[in-house]
Amino acid sequence: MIELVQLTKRYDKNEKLALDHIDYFTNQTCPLGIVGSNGAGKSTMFMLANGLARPTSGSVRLLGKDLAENKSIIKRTGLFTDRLMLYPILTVKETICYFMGIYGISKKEYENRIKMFYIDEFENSKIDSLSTGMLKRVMLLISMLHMPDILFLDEPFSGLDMDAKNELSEAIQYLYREKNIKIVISSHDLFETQDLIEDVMILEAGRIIEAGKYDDLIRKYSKVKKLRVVCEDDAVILGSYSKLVRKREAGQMELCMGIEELYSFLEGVDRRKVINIINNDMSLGDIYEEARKHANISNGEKGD
Amino acid sequence: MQILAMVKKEIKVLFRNRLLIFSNIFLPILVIAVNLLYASTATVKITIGIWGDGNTEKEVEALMNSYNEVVEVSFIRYDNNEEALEEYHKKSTDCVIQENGDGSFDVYYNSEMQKSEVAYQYFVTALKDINSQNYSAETRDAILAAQKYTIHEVVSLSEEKTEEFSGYIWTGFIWIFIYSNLSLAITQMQQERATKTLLYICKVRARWEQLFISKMVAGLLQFVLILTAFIVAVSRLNLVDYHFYWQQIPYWFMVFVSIFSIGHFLGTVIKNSALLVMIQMLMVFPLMLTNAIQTSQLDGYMKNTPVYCAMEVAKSAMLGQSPAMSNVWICIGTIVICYFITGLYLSKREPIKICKIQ
Repeated sequence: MIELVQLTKRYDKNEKLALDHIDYFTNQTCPLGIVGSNGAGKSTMFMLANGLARPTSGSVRLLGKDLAENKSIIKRTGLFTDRLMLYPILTVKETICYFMGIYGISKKEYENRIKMFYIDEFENSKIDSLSTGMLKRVMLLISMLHMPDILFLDEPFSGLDMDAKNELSEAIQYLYREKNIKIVISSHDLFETQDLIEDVMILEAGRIIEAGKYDDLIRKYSKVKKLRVVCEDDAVILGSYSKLVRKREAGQMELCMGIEELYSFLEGVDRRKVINIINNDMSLGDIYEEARKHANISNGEKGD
Repeated sequence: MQILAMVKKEIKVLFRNRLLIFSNIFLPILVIAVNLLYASTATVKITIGIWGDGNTEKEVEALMNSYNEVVEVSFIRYDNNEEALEEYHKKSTDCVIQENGDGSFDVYYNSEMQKSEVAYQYFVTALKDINSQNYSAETRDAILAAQKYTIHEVVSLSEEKTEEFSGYIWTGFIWIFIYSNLSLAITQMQQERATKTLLYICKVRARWEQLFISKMVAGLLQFVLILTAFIVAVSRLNLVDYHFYWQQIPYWFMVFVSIFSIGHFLGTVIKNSALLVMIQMLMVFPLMLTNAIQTSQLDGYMKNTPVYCAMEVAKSAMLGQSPAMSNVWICIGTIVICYFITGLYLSKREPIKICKIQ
C-alpha cells in the first residue's frame, strides 16, 4: 500500500537534508503513526507522498504504483495539514462546496458529507468565526471529501483542547473503521495518537530509528522498563539503582525498572518501606523515548 | 464543474471584500441613483454664440427661452464670425448662429458633441415654431415682425472630435484599466498561495487555465462595474463627452486580459509582497505622469512597455479610433508569454515551493 524506496529529500540547494534514504513498506490497512521531533522529516514525507514535493532521490510507491510515473495516483490520497488557511470570509458551506467542486463531487453529496463530522451544526458560520476544533473538523472533511484510499493527517491535534481532541479522534476512528481509509498520522501528541494507531514509525533527523507494530514495540521496550516502584526515600542504598530513579519528592522516590531488575532490587530493600509496585504500561511516549535512547539521541537533540 | 466552483469562489471572495463592495456595488448604485435624480429634475444649460447684421437676434433669443423647461439657453453676442468661432473652440459656447439679415441663418455646430447637438436641434425646433406662428403670447410680444426663417447653411465642426480628454480624466482611466486590474490579479495569486489552497488545486491536478479563467471572470465583473460607474459619473459631470463604439469592447477586453496576464504572472512567480507593490507602482505611476503632464522623455522610456501599449490601445478605443497594430500585437504577445511562463512555472515547480512551505 505504501512503499518508500531510498527516499531522500534535500532543501535549500541540497544543503538541508530532510529525509535520508528512507526505506519503508506496509501493506496493512491499519492506521500508521509517524512520531518524531520537529524537523524530523514527517511533514516532508507527507508532502512527498502527496506529490506536492519531488524526492531528491528514491521513490514513493502508493497502492502499487510509482508516484513519479503515475501522478494521477495522488487523487487517491488525502492530505490534512494545518498549513491550509482557508478563506476567512467564506462560510463553512461555501468552503466545502468549493472543494467539492474542485474534487468534482456532486453537490447532492453535500448533506451526507457534513453530517459525518457534525459540521451541519455550524455550516453557515464564517471560517474566521470558528473555534480551532471546528476548523480542524472542516479541514478533516476537506481532506477526505473525495474518499481517498490513504489519508495523511499532519499534526491534527495541535492547538486543540481535550474535548476537541476527543471529537477529532472519534472522527478519525470513524474514517478507518467505517470508511476503510488507511490513516497515516503524524503528531506530537503521543497520548492522543497511541489510541488511534496500530503501526508506528519513529523518525529522527530524517531517518527511521524504529518501526513496527505498536504491540510489538510495547513488548520489545517493556523488557527494558515496565514496573514503577514507589518506596520511602531511605528504603535502599541507591548505588547502582540511582539511574533508575524517576522522581524524588516528599520523602518518597519513584524508580522505573524491568522485571529482572526488580528481583535484585527487592533483595536489597527494606520491604516494609516499599509503598507500591505499579505495572507501568508502555505508552507511545515511552517507546519514543526508549527508541531515541537506543539510537543515542538525547532529549535536547533535535533532528534537522 | 471545477471551473464553476472556482468562479463562484472568486466572485464571493472578491465581493466580500468591504473596500471592493464600496467601489464595485455602492459606487455604481450611487451613480445610477444620482443619475436618475439628476435626469428628472435638472435642466441642461447650453450657451449659444450669436452675431449678425440683421435685427432678428432678440427675436430668436426670446423664442428659444420661452420654448423648453428643461433646457436653459444663454446667449453671447459677438461682433464677427471669427470671434464667435474662436470662442466656440475655447468651449465658451456650444454652437454658433450667424444671422444673415435676410431671414436666413448659418449654424456652426459639432454633431459629435452632445451639448452642441442639443443646441442645434433646439434652434431648428424654435425656427419651425416661428414659421408655423405657433408661439406663446409672451413670445409674440417679443417678436416684432413675423417672417419666414430658414437655415441657410449648416457648418459641421466635427473635426473637433479628435480633441483629447484631460490628463486627469486619463489618470482615472489608467487607475481602472491598469492599476485596479493589475492589483487584483496579483492579490488573487498571493491569496491562493497564502491560504495554501493552491496546494489542493495542485493535488486535484486541476488545469491551470481554469484557475486563471475563474479569477479573470471575477476581475472582469469588477472592471465592468468600476468602468461603467466612472464613465457615467464623468459624463454626467460633463468632464468628458463619451461616445460608445462597439469596437471598444474587444479592444478593452484585450487590454483587460493583457493586464491580468501580467498580474497573474507577477503574483505567481514573485513571493515578496513589498517587491510586488514596488513593481506595480513602477508600472502605473510613470504611465499616469505621461498622460497627466507632457513628459516626452518619459514617454520614450515607457512606450515599449506592455502596460503603456495596453493603455494606448484602450485610449484609442475610447476615442473611437483604431489602435496602432504594433500595440495590439504587443498586448497579444504579452498575454501569450505571461500565461505560458506562468503555466510552465506552476507545472514544473514543486507546489510546496510555490506555497512557501519550505
